[in-house]
Amino acid sequence: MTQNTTQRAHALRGLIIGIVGAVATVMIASLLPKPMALELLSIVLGGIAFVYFGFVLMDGRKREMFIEFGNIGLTIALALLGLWVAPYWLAAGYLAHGLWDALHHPRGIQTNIPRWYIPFCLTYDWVVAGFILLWWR
Amino acid sequence: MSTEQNKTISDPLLDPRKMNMVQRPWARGTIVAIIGAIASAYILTLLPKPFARDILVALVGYFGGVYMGLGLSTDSAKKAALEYAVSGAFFGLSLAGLWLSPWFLALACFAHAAWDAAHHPKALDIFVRPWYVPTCVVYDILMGTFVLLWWWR
Repeated sequence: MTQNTTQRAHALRGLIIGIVGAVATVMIASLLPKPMALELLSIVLGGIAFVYFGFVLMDGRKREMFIEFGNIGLTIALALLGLWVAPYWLAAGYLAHGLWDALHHPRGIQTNIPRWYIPFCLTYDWVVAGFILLWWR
Repeated sequence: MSTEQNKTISDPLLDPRKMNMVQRPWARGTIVAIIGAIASAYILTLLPKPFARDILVALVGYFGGVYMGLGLSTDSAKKAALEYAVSGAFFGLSLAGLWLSPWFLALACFAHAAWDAAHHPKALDIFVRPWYVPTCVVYDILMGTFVLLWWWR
């Protein structure tokens, strides 16, 4: 019961920080000219992919390191495609990164990350992805 | 001392004194960084400069993300706050490199090397893998030099 309450508190904390962070990012992006906003959102996507690099540096297990490096490569490719080809790639990158966050469930990928980070990053990613899809039409 | 302990200590991969040069984390890290930097620089010279700059900008911004991850993983609130601040600074430098001048990208590479070095156990003492600091310091210095030489050629 207590553990469930703690987990819910972690999830709620992550969710709130994710929404606040995403709203702040979206506000800054919408104040910029579209090409500059695209560059900003592309760098942010790559940056959040590399946060997992920091996690595996602390974690140290080789299997997790290779899994995370694979995802970092894929996310960077989507961030650059979003910048050079079409912004929809960027939206796809944020959506895919949100799914990647969700895969770090206790029964999924075992990299050590703070509990609240998963709901935070998933919320952040999907709100920003939604913004790109709506805003870039 | 038990047989198991003897076996563990005599393993050259676990006892740094018995490692040859290439097995040592700093030596391996340096070799990987030199190869990585040469490969990165070569690929960048094949691209049109605006594309190459986008990649360098992204790289600098992404490097900031690593410190965000390290900050999120550390137990010390003070060290975490420091990592977040530095992460934000690198993100700012990457945007300055894109919107103002590529000088900021070279500056970011050198600053990043200095910050990597600060993760030494005798300095900040934020735990990272032994190979990470030498790899990243060497890679950053080589890439910073490359940006300085190549962009204004």
